Amino acid sequence: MDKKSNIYALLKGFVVENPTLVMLLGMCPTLAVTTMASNGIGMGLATTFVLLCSNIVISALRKVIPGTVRLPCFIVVITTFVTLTDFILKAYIPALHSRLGIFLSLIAVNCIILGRAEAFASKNSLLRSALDGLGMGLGFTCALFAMGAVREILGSGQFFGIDLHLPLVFPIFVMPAGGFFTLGIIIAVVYKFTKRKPPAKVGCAACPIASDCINCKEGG
Amino acid sequence: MKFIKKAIPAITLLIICAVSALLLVFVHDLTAVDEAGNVTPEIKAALAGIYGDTEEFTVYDTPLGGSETAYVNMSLRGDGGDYAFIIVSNGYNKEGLTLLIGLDSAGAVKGIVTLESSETPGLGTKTDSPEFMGQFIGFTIDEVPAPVTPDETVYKVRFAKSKEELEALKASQPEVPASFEWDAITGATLSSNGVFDAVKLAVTAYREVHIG
Repeated sequence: MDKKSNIYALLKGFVVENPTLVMLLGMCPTLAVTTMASNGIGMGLATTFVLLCSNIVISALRKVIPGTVRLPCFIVVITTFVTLTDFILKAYIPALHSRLGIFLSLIAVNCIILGRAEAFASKNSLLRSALDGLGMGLGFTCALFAMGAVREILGSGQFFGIDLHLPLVFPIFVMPAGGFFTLGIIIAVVYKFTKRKPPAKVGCAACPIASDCINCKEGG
Repeated sequence: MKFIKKAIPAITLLIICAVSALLLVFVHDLTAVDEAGNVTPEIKAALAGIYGDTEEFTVYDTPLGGSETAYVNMSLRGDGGDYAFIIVSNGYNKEGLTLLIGLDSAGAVKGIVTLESSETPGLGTKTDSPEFMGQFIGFTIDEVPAPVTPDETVYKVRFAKSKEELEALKASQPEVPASFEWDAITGATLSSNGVFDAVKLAVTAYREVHIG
């Protein structure tokens, strides 16, 4: 697929450049909130909203923002949308708000969002940035949903809170250790299906965002 | 001109911050809901589950009070003379359990409803089962041990008018009485203890407000 096409900008977040499973960004919410499938989806969609909005605004302002203060500007835009999401969820979906807890505010420091702002939105058109944000966010949501579903089914014997009457459950899966275990297995499966090989040598060529990265083009 | 060029980054950042702040103020005013001290539909449904639909509950006073591990968030009084307390208790997570504990006219536990739980799904959340909660039905102040010295009162729960006063009053609460036996949930000892702490606080708080 043509890497410059709009469809690629949207779809690359799902598998090829999946922020969680391939780029291994945003590990903190990935491990912390995925004890239930519904929490994973809630967190994923909240992040998608912030990612989409911040990508749009940063892309629109990319010619106005001076290079020297770009990072503070990005952070202000991102935290504004995070706080908006926090207010809106608190008012309209309080149950989800209380379950996500501190991790909702911590979307502000989720490196996926700043990463996309810096690597993509600050260099691409508004439409492409919006598609990139949407794709990355939904890719993140899918990864969190997969994690949450596996952990909820194996650890609690439930799926979306519905009891599955499993003969055996492993409570270790809802605990932090089970989170690492599940994440490792899911990453391994994604690597298997995308036929990717672990990089033999760590360098720019092995980086999944090599095509977007400015440092890479400069030879860094 | 040189000065203006140098000032442009700062001015840009300032404008972005100002616009963000204005937007947040607007959205905050739009979404802020002050539910403190109100009987929400959720609480009403929980009360109906314990007492049936006939008794109407109102917030008769909202004293803040508590022990080291739990505090009363709201006190409710029914028109039939029953009392119910919403208690926030520490489980595995600090303030992880919000329970509505209804007492009968004799001050014994009549029913417990989990209003909010941020405990571990599949472990701590198991406390919200009829088998576990049922153990505490009928628990009364008589089962909390008598004072050890004359100076020490049974009712270590005290009510405060302000948050500062509350912090000062968070004294230790009565020990688990030897006469009362109950089973914790396997793998969720802290959540189970959190429920029991809330139950003890509820019956002590009842004594405080009803008998004085």
